[in-house]
Amino acid sequence: MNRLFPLAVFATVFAVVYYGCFVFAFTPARFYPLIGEVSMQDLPRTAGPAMGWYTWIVIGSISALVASVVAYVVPKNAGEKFGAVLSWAAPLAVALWILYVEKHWFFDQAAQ
Amino acid sequence: MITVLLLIHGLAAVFLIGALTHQAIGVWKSKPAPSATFFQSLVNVRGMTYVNAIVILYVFTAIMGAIIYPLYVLDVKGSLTDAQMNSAIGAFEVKEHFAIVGLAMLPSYWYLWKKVPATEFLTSRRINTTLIAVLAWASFFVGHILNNIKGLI
Repeated sequence: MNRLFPLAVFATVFAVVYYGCFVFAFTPARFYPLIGEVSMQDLPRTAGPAMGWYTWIVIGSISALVASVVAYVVPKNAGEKFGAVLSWAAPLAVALWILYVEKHWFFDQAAQ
Repeated sequence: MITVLLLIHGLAAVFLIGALTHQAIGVWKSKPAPSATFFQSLVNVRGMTYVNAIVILYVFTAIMGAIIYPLYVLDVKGSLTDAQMNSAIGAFEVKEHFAIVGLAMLPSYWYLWKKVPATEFLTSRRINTTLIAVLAWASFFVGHILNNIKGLI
């Protein structure tokens, strides 16, 4: 790729889709480290804790790849300036979103 | 084995934040200055030469983190939950997400440094670099503190 805009779209879609999957609990497959298995279904508690992190990364990266390929058709003159801003503004917004969503760990007394 | 992996993860993170900090400070330099003092030398680093190393170190550190993450879930997270250390658990939640946001930024970060002329999109290059540095520093702090609370042994 020789354009900034598709790469900025990649960063944006990856971050938004990845964290969106976490927030909305979209985890089609989970890894159970105790038994070392990946399962599409909820396993009983004896299987130990489940991890969705790898799934969200895969979904985010595939979505971002598709979106960045689509973004490649945008003419270079039209997208580069917007891409330059998007490349940092969207990740910054997602970082703030993360802090907002996760604040309950630090400030919610009911969770203590 | 896990101790070795954790050490490699930590050392790679140290190299990464060192390079990112140099670059992030240097990218805000507004005009050339003599390297007469320590700070001037720090500001005068050629950020362009750090880019590939930073991308490789970031990806390597993230892969190492992904390898040892299941052991954190099995060993450390359970202990933190039992001890009701919700702030520590939440800090790691933030770290795991911040690391991925930074990872997603690497292609555009690399492009801004390597393919865009130095005089163009300077603000974007500065903010991209600084944001990745902040995300890496936050992840490093959390990992270091959690390792102090309960290491992966």
